[in-house]
Amino acid sequence: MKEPFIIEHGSEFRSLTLSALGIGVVAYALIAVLVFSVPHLPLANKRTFYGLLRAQMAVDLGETLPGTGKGMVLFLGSSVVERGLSETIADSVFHSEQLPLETMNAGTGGFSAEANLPMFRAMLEDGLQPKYVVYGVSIQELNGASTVHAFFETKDTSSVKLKPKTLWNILRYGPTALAPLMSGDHFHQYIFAANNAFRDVPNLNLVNRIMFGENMPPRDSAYVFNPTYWNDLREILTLCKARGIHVALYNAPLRKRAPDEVDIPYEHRGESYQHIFALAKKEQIPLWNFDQAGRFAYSEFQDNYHLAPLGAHRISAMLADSIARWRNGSLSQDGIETLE
Amino acid sequence: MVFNSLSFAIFLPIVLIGYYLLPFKGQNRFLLLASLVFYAWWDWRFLFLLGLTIVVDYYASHAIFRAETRKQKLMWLRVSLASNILVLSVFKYCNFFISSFQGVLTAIGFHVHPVTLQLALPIGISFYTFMSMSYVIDVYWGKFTPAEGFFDFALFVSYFPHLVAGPILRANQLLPQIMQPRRVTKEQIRDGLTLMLVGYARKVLIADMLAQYVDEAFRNIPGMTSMDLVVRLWLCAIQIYGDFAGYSDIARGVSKLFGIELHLNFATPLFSQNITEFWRRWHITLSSWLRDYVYIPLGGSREGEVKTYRNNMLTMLVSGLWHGANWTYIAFGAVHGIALMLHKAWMKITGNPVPKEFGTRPWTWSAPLRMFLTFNVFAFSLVLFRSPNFATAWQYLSRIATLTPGIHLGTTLFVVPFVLIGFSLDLAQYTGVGQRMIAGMGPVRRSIAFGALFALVLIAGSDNSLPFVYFQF
Repeated sequence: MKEPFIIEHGSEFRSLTLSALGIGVVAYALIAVLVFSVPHLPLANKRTFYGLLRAQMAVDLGETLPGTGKGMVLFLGSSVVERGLSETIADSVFHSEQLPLETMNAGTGGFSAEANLPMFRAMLEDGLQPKYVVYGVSIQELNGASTVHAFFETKDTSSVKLKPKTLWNILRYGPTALAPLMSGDHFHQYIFAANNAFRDVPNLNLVNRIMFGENMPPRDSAYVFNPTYWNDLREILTLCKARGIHVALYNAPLRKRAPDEVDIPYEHRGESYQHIFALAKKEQIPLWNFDQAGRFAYSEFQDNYHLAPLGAHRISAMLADSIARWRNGSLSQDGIETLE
Repeated sequence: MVFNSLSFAIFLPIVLIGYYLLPFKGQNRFLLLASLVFYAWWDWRFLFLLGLTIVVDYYASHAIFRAETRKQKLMWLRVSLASNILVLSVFKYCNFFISSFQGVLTAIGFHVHPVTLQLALPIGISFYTFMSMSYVIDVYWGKFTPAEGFFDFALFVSYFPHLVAGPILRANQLLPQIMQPRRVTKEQIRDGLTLMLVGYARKVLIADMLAQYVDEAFRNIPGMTSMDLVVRLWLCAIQIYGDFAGYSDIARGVSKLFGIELHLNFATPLFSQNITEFWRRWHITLSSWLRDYVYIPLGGSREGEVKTYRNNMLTMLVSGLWHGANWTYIAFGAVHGIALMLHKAWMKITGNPVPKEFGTRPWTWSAPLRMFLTFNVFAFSLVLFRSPNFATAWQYLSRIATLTPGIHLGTTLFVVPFVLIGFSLDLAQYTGVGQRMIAGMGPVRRSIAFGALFALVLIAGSDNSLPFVYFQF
């Protein structure tokens, strides 16, 4: 019988093996360097990237804070929080009041309670232990209009995890984590998310508007209360209480619609508030209401429910002040059961 | 199994290790087994069709070779051709013939509701039947002595790198390599890995990236401006090229690792300066197959000008029909047939004979303009290739003709770097710079360059992998 091919071609086989290994090692080394170079890059697929960037930022901050002797105030919610809360302003209030607290804004555009729940769960599983959690509730919060399942591609959001950046995870998930950089559809989402995440209360500029268009929330006629979302919000509160995290809710302000503006379910704000109030009462947690007539000027809004930087700076100071008073026991709840 | 899948990434090293550990005879059996597994991965039930083609053509070719009279030879040739054409007719063209016949009957006033077959199209059927047919025809013409060993012939037809999307090889190109003990050189390994990487880059970085923009245009024609639609046709041309040439590159690269050379299938066709040159550079193995087994048997250019034009047109109609069982593909072939006739006529008027070979041509001031024109002829013909029916094609072209102003740049601008990567790869191949550069690199520099390209492919392909377009043909 003739000799096996490899005896005659030992050198060629070695060349093939070494070349393939060399290419693979260089490729993965580059991917690992990129994964570590992009700040807070979550090991997620490109659809979950948007929300998990915030979660990863919170986890990364949570790892460095204990060394500074500070506790974290974690804000959760939708774009109303994402674009409506200045970490800088809130921290300056804490600093002036000599409170050892630091703010993390993990609000994510398009994410209401059922999207925030898996994100928050993932943060907790990754060891995050904030001192306070403050959830900003908007008119969109409980109406069942979230896009979460499209983001996470599963209805079972309990499976959404933050993956630690171990070498194996980087080899396994590194390419998918970087995939948003290579796809037009997701690259602009990546830029948008990064732009929002690393800027203090951004004002939507023309490029942002071109990229994402306008929000089209349901009108009054389409508004429905969705108890599933209410339960998800309640689950977030339960998770906090079970871990000894102080938790509060705040009701975000709305601007009365003008005829030429994009509609919102303004007439249902009272109904929405009552559900939130009932939840706060049931869980015995503070609820701070900012949706009061005249509290925010028309010019402090970007649209009907997103604050402009001016309004965001003011509400941030108010929220920080509320947290400070809550901390020293002089404030618990507004006590207003219904809106005027 | 597709080349851009995890299963193939596991399959190939296993097959390579097995191949290198075996002696020559065992290698061929092992490659045949691997090829059958490769095909069965998609749907094992269609192995019987592949087997039928192999068995019928193996015995028909031997019967032709042994037959003493021309009549007997012709009879066996007919058996083989009938078998192949029957397989193609049933599995690829049956519903097309039925619906076309129904259309004719409806047009003359008869309304019928014929039964259509709900059959999946076996991948690669057009490729392997054409290969097998050309083998039998070559034996009939006395160009080739049939392979002695059944397994050698079976491997010739089913060899996995070319099985599902070509190149369409001739017996004289592949069988001698199968029948003789092979050698693998370090240069082949270097070139094989290069081709594989370039192929993956063409597929994942270029074709798949552009596919989303092309799909969007055909999904939402009324929402696009005229310029949007034109730009997306250009992208469609680059996408189809990247997809198919990418597959061919990977196939050739993989095959080199086994010491088997497959024929070049794309020679930078987007740099062609006229449509005749384009078809000599595009899908070379199909073009030459059609030339040798359709155009020349029809009379080629030997029987006067009118018959040459007719033969050109008939060949291109067959080419269209080969691509798919739809009138839009036939119309695609017709458009190219007309374009080839016009080019021939123009060359005659200007007194320039159409050259036999084009190769790398010297640059003249008009070369970019001619390339752009040729590229546009191809790109616009893809409206027919890409549309599911004539109504969509007509809607697409009518929308362009409205000259709606503006262009949605948006994310379309994002494709520019990927188009440039594709252009650079082609330019390097066209000028020969790429080959010289790679040959001059040491193993470390090569690993770094290839590793960087592979990293891009991994990132782009991690969440965006699409099947190869030419699998459907």
